[in-house]
Amino acid sequence: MANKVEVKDVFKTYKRGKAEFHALNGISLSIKEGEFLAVMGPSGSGKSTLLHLIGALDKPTSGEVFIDGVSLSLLGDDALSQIRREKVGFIFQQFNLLPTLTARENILLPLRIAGKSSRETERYADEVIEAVGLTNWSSNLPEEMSGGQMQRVGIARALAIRPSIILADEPTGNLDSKTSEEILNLLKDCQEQFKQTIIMVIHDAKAAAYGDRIIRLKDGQIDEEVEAYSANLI
Amino acid sequence: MSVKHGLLGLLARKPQNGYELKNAFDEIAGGFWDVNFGQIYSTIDRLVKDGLITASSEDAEGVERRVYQITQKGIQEFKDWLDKPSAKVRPLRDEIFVKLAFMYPFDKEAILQLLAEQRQLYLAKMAELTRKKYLLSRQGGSRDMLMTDLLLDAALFHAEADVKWLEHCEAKLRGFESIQREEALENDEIGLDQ
Ligand SMILES: Nc1ncnc2c1ncn2[C@@H]1O[C@H](COP(=O)(O)OP(=O)(O)OP(=O)(O)O)[C@@H](O)[C@H]1O
Ligand SMILES: [Mg+2]
Repeated sequence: MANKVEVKDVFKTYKRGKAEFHALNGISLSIKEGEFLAVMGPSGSGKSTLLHLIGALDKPTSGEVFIDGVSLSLLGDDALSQIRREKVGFIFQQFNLLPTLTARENILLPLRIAGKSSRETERYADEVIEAVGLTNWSSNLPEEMSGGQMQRVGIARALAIRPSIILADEPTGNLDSKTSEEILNLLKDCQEQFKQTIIMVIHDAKAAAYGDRIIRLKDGQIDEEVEAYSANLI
Repeated sequence: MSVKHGLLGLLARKPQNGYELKNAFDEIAGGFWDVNFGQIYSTIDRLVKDGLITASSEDAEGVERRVYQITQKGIQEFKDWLDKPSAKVRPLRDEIFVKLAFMYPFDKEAILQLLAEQRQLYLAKMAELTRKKYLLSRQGGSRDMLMTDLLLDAALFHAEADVKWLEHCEAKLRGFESIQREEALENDEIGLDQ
């Protein structure tokens, strides 16, 4: 199957005073269409940085990221923001909700920005709202919700646009184990039913076990790779 | 869970032959506890001797097979066991503990390698169990399924704890290594001073 995402010899370097610091230190990685990749690794190992580069939210210092075979480095700002709007659903570590919008409005916002708001797409969004268990909170403002509920809004917002790639940064970080399981089953459904490609950064092994493949980052490099389950990709 | 009570519980569901019992046991134990046929059959013999189960013969395509059934006494024994809280904390019976005890501190690299391999094995196993759980969750919920799901959870929570412990070991071993190196350096410096 085709590679959905390809990361080729990517470095991300930050200045720290006079010294240079490699948040990513030469990473190469291929992710197949419809694959569920879990990314583990200690705090500061570069997980979020990697996710941001794949989601075209940031650019590598050197190396290239390909999505659907197209190098992001060749694209202008318009094309990049189109990729962000239409191909990528981002579940952020800090939920990034707009405080003045209700849960449902937050969830519908990306559809509206992309000009994709229609009865059909909004119906799907409402299905997602139900699936993440937010039906009773859909008209609440972020400040009127718990951390776990805001987390669900962030997840629903990412799924509502039916992106072909879902990038999730600690999507179950604030949730109890039963709710985590529901959310992870939902992500797994996205993969199984809609063949969405999922890259999920996660701390705990129990959640990482939802991946077909688990990689571990250490000091900005891939430290190890575990092929967990690949039968559904063959 | 003991093999004895595991088998009683399985036979309380329905009569089964040894082969079926072994499969069902593996299913419950979630692949984290290897029992071989030898253990299954020796436990069966003991259960028959104690009158907790009985054996009868079944004819499967010309081959005679023994099918086991739980007795009233067996059901009582199983119920009594179910009602008693487990006082024992999970034993650390993994080989890795024994290896660790003998290897450290002679060969740190080897032990780090062993810990990493063990962790990877656990992750792969956890992924397999998670896959089972996911498929189960998509079939909708009967009572039996809920129980299987909870047992899979137990195996996963235990495995997660083991993975955490393995990571913790790695981090501590690495830390210890650098302390030793610093000590060695300090000793060298002292040597130079003299
Ligand atoms: N904008 C930035 N400027 C300077 N350094 C940065 C910047 N963003 C990230 N870093 C550094 O890059 C490293 C990797 O950060 P990153 O956020 O990718 O880690 P992480 O693996 O996601 O950690 P966590 O599990 O804590 O979220 C960290 O040491 C961080 O301090
Ligand atoms: Mg992060």
